[in-house]
Amino acid sequence: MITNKKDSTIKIVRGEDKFAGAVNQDLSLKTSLEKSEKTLIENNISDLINLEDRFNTERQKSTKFRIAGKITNIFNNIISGQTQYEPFKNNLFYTNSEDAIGSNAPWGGYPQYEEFSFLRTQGIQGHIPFSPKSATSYNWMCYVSYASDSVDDRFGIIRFQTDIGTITKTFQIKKGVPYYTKKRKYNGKNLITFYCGFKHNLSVGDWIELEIPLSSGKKKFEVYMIGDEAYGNNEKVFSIYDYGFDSPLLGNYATGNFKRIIDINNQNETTSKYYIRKHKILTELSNCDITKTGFERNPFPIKKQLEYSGLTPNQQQRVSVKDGSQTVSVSFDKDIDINGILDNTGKPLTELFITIINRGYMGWFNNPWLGSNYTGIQVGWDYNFLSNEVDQWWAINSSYNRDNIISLSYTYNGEEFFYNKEFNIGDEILGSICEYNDYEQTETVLSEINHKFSFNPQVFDNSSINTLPDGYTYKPHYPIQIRTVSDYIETGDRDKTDGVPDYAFYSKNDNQWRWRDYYDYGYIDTNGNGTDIPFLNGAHYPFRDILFLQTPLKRNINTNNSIIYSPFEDDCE
Amino acid sequence: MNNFKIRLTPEQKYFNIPIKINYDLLGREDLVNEFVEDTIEKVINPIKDFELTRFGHKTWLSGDTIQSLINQKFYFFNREIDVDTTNNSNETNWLNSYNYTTVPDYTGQSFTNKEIYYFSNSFKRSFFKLDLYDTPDSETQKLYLTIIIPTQQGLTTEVDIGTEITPLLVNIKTPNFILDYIGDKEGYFIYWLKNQEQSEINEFYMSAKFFNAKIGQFVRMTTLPQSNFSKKFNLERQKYFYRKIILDYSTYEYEVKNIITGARVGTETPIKWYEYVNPS
Repeated sequence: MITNKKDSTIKIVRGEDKFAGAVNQDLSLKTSLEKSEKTLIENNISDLINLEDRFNTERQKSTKFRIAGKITNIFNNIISGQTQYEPFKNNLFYTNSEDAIGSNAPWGGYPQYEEFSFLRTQGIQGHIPFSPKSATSYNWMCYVSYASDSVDDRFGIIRFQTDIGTITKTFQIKKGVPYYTKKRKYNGKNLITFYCGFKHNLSVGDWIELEIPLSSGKKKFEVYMIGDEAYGNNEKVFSIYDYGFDSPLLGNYATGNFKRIIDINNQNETTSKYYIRKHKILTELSNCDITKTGFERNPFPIKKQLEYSGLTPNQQQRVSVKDGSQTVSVSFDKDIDINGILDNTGKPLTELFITIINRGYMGWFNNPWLGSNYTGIQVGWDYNFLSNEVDQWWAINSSYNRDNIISLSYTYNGEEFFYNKEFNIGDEILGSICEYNDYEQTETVLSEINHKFSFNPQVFDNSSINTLPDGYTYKPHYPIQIRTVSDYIETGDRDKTDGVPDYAFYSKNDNQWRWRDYYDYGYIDTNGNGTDIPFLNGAHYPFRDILFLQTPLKRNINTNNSIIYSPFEDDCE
Repeated sequence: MNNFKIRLTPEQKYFNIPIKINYDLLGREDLVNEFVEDTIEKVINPIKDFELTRFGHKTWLSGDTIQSLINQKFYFFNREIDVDTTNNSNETNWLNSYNYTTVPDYTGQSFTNKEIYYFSNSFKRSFFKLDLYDTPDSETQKLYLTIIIPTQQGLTTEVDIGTEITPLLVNIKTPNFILDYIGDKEGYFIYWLKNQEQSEINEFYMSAKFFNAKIGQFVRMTTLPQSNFSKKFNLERQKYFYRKIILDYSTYEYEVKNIITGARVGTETPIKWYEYVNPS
């Protein structure tokens, strides 16, 4: 054995020279090449530095983000009512001033646009004192958040609007996508078509697993067709081949839930999981700066009217504004360091969110319903909207539509007013319904979350049902892409763990690790995937253009299209 | 592990194993790379964070109400008497108005009510300039920031711009600025480095000038009227031409102090600036 001893001389002696009678034999020396040392190469070290490389090195190393955005507030003020509270009464956009003056009828009208704007310019005369410093936080609260966790045991109620009327289905999120079925024929083939409550995320050749098996025990079916021939229904409609199933579970207007399976031969690993994301707040309310954006406005008209002194209850002339066209810019003075932060799937972050929550500090909204609940805001998802009526999901006395948004109150002029409490760093609130597939290593948003803020009937009455007061809905979370994962899946052998990231999924079926790589900042692949966020001052500066819609409670976003042909597009388009 | 077989001839009694014996500890190359990286970081400019952030005026209490406004008032000398002859009782000769003199020789540099009301070019292109220095010592000071307050801002006062027969009452601007988060806010915020590592300065000394577009000249402003001094033109510059601004990095707010008394100004006590009149 060769040792590390320097200048060692090893003497080899023939066998016959060792002692009498000894025989000669072949000798061998084992030289180990495993060493804790290596040869010293003496040379000059040179390293070329260029600006592009240095910029890229610093860019890839930085985990600091400075979030900014622009909020275009799209809002149509359509809910009018009456109020007995004097300051509010003196502040309405009147709709019946002539009647009210002449006949002593109650004064009715719309709240001012100021109640829905991101930047108030004044308070309400006779109501609480107005602080200019809080001008941007009376109505809305803006935060930065990320998807930190998930919950799958919450219940949802979906109301399908079908040919035979409304079908109600209660389901648990983890059970999968809710649907109702219809039997139909396509090109002479019998199909069972599934009309889903939200995006199914299926492709032809995928399989579905029903929550309740047929009496034969069968519960997995291959997807035969996506959509139902009509334009625009592909995301929520698909069909399986009808081999003559006579089970009521697959009959007309049967309801249920299913999960997606990618590979029927590897069901354990390729069956999707369904859950609601939870967002963790990363900033405080005071970290948010909101300012007017120069001359930019949204394209919708401003509606104003002059309230003549003789046609107001307090005989004061003023200009009232029903609809505005406000656009504001938002930025955060706190830097977000994503180092060490993992998302709800256990991976490094790819998205941050600008989270906007109604505050309603002036007191028009957010009565938490006679104290039986402690939250004034109701949460629901995109499937909780009907085109011709208000979905009962939004009822203010329901326990299903609650979240961690606490309603507080103050008393002024003898009246109680409610508003939503500001968040602290680390608070969690609900987000979208998502599907995650370990094998694909992909999370897909299936249905986005919505918040509803309702008028407080004690101070503003519009004759709506007490348990279902009128109000508006909005989407609270707006993602900002900060990194992108590859559109291909990397695999690694079981034993070769070098280079396999911590978040990789180990497939027992394939005996391989599976993961998606994170693209470098500034890298855009051939499909256009990637992020190229401005980088300077050692920080990334992502920007999000937010179209903030405050919408009424009736929407046709869940009606299936019956038009077969897609819109015509000529060469000019 | 490799095995090496060595066959010996009868004449050969020994052999050399040609293994290099100048050893280098493993990991040294990594250390060298680290050293190279470290050296490069030192050689080139390290990342400097020049991001600015917004400092708002520190809140204060007016009775029970929390206020965030800052009040700056500018006074101009009316020239009715020679500044050299003024005394303590003549403070009222400094007027909080753009139309500050009727003395014929000087009306050309003052503004008429009509010029103010109709925002004539000479009026709307005039402005107040607040310069923020690191020290009040004019020999060594460096200018770090400039804040412009345009004349289009400010409170108004009612004047008559009609004729004797047909009066016309209108509101015209005055150099009395109440700046806040909303309303008049140009010149309200101070935008300064967010990262204190780039500049340890968190105190500034603020001087004021009025740039008069009507005559193309500027006048300096003092913190007390010259009538208060026995030597009208030899004011102690470090005391009477500056206010002190203190930045609070924990809340991103600033406050303004009177250099002489140390008291906070810009609150219920306005920041008053008086025109400094040169010897004639």
